[in-house]
Amino acid sequence: MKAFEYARPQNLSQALEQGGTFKAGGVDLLSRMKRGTLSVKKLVDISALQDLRFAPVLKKGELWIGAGLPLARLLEAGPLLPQGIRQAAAGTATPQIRNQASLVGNLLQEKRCLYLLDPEISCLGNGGKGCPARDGHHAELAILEPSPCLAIQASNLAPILCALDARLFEFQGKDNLRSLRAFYQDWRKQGERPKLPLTHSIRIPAASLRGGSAHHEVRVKQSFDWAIATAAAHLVLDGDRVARASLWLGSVSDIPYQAKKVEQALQGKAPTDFKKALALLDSDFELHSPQQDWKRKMALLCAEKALRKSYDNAKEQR
Amino acid sequence: MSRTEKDRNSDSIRGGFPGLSRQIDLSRRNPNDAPPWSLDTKFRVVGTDVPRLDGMAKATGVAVYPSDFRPKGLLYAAILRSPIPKGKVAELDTSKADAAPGVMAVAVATGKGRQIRYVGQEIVAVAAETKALAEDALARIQLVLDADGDFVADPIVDARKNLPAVDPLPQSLQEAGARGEKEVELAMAFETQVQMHHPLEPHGITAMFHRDGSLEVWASTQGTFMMQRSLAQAFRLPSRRVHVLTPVMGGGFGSKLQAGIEARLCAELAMEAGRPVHCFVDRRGQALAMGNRPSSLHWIRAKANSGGEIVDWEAQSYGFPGFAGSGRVAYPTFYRGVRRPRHRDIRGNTGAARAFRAPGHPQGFFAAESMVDELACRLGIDPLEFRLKNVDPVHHMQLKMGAEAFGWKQRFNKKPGTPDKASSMLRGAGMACTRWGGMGGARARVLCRIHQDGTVEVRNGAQDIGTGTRTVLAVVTAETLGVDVKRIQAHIGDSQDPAGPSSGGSTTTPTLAPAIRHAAWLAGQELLGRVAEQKRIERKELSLEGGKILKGGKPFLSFSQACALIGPEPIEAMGQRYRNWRGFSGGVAGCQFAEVEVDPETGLVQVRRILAVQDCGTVIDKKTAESQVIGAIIQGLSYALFEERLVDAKLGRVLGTDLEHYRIAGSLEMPEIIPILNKGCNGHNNTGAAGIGEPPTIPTSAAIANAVRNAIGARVHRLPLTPDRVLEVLDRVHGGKQ
Repeated sequence: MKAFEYARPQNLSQALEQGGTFKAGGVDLLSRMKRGTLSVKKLVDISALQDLRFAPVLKKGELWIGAGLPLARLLEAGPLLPQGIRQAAAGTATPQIRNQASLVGNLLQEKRCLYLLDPEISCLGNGGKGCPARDGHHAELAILEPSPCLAIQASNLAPILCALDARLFEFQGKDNLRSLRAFYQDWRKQGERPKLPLTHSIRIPAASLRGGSAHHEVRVKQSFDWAIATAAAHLVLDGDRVARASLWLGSVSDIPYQAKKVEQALQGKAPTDFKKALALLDSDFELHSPQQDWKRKMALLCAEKALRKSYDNAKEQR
Repeated sequence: MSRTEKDRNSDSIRGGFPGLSRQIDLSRRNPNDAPPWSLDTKFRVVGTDVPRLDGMAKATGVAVYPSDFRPKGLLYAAILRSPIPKGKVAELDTSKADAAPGVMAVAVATGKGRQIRYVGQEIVAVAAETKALAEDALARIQLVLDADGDFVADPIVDARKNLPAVDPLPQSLQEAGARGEKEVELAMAFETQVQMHHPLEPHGITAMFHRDGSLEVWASTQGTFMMQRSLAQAFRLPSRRVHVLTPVMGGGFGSKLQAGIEARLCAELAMEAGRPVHCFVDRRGQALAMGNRPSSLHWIRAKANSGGEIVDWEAQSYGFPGFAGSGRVAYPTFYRGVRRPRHRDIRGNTGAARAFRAPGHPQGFFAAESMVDELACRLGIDPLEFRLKNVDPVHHMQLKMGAEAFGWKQRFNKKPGTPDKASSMLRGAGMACTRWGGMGGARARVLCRIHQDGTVEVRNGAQDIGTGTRTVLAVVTAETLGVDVKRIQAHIGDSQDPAGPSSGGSTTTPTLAPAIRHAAWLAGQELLGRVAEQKRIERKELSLEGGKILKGGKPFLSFSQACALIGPEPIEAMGQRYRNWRGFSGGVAGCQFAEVEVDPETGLVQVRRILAVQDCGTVIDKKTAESQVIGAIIQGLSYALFEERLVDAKLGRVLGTDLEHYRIAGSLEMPEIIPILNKGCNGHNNTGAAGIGEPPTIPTSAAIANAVRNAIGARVHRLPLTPDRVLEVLDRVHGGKQ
């Protein structure tokens, strides 16, 4: 690892004065620095800022969660935390990492691909040319809306927070409430992670707190692994029928993927139609090779499980 | 007359197992040796649960590992590795690195004109004031490589195409099951992956030259004396001028037997800089260059008759060790009818294979035990019954013992491929056997000192790769002298102490234990001599039993009282390792039973339970022996389900060189593990102990694969048993209906 400056501000105003790269849990950041795919001049450790580590709380009808809240503490939250968020946080890595990893840190983690993560391999993802994964190992890489670079966003909290239309609330700037969905869109457009000022909290709008939500993922290993596929659903019911549906998939593309066709198809339908609606998702996969067939199956399975679980959750919520 | 005295005077002892023993002839035993333990010996300490003596220090971080050692003035090394798989060094200029801030020494491993044979090959090492400065300096090295595009990174791909024909894969459960035929003949292929060596403590040493020109190294090694010899040779020093220290070390599994190039580079840097240098390989270097269990490919044609006997067996195997090393495999030839394969190694441009916990065995046993199991399945004979018909008496006894304890009858699924009603999971059970040598016998000496204050010091220079060498020293000494383990001070891992073995082939305990016993026994005899002298009585009136000095068979002095008579000069005895005589068996045996649950929607395999029956002759310390079995099963499970080195054939590169992306089984992957030590006494040396580090990792992957076969109704022919492979087989035999 290269030498770097280090600061650990004790309060917000000190933190806001500091220029540099913010480190909360450091789970993703430090391993990139160690691997040599990222070098940082100055590291500003924000893990001491209690203002960023507050537990979920209802304010003005919205649910606010501290941006720096460790995932383990998120899991301690009471019933006001949507079930889908709880399920996503519970599946993350290991208890040790959940103690360390912050909520927003999980959302900002870099894209994954064994080629991209190797500092000696030049590829599209790190400013080079071509995607060596296409001729090599890509079983775990993008299968929906694939970009020329097949690396995936593997945050397991991103799909559920997109499904719930979460916003990032920032300390600075005029327009300081940023939609998480838009943030990922910008990431795709710019080709690199948009620069973020210090984030205060995640805010989930009142409309998303109605209905039920769920998260389902499949990983090869149950301890310390990233998901092969993740799906998160949010359903608002009208009687037994779906009034509003939101279905997002993770680990399948460079950013969380919104299954719009499925969402539309579910509108006004009873849950017996999940399989039929999911056939529309199946037709959207763009596999680079049969290596990815298991991943496709798992994405479909996750989507179905997330929909069923969120439907059950929505019924319980009533 | 006491038991041991009687044993000593008789010309045979009973060896083997309580239910399966025979008299062992002692005529080839060295008459100077200590009296041998036998199946009839009643132990006080041996075979009980003695906690690892250094366990607390290791668990609390007090123990100083070689990579933790920080002498004054320490420099840190970094190694530049080849980014290409094949070629030549066209130009190499290190002058800018030499001049870089903080750099104190530079050493070249692969100079101009030399061949490059894999990505990760060591080229230059730099020592600097900090690790970061050393790494920065690497970037200043001007290296021009002449790349040769004609390399083969993954030769298994071509070898697969050239295998002899195999039977078509079953397309339905019915096809995969027994078809009521009188005899079965099958031809099948099996494949295993490359498993990386990732010991928790990386490879390396800290080296320093003293003013007198002698070399001191703190080494993470499996062979303190091997390290001493190689460094002495490299620097043209007499061995006694190289002092190797390995008080504790963080795992080796076979990969730290040799003094690697990183050790030689480190000492070279230390010599040039005139300061101590710390050179430990980083995780990436580990993945690329520090060895692996090579992949293998097998083609087996076998035939069994209606009586369940294996009547024909023909096999061809290939190993893929990388640019060097061995890819040879071993088959379970204790099954009547199973024969060794014809074998060929095919080299490629990746890091070389190294010995890895039972080299060649998990690969070969996965293939052959799968075939044995498949013969049983196709004949419609219970795999347990089938094995019982074809194995030797020891395995026969163990299989019955294990099947009973495991509950084989209840756990074996009579309707493979049918989901459990309650959980909707597919459940199955499988088994496999193991065999290994591990009798020890390399030359070793052990020093035992009895001090006036009643403490007993015991010393050998060999290391502990995790099997509990220090504790073995204490237990055998305590048993022999009849004293409490707490009285013993055991010293290991120092090349200035008496010579001991490298830890390879599960031989450390069986090599050392007899020498320890001999040393302690000699020291005890001398203690009696001193007592006789001091008390002016006949030596032959005295004996040492249960930690007490007896006179005419009656209690006379306590051990402490006797020691008080020694005087300031301690008693010193040097024990020897005499040659093995013919014991009960030339190796150890065992078997394992696995129960798995397969998720029919994902193909994910969860192992629920593994039961192992394992023999290691006399069990010296039950706790550390069981811990070896448990650890071996964990490593075997990880190999069966997760670990797989990925190589990009086009780039010639290993992918996923950190522990974040190389999948190793974690806490949630752990089943219930039940180790059953099949206690016995091999009777081939004065302790009857045999090795246990390697044998229990051999059958785990085969037992799990056979359990998966029993759960899903068809076989997965390739390790690891990843969910995509399992689901593919499931979908095929269930016509995609799962």
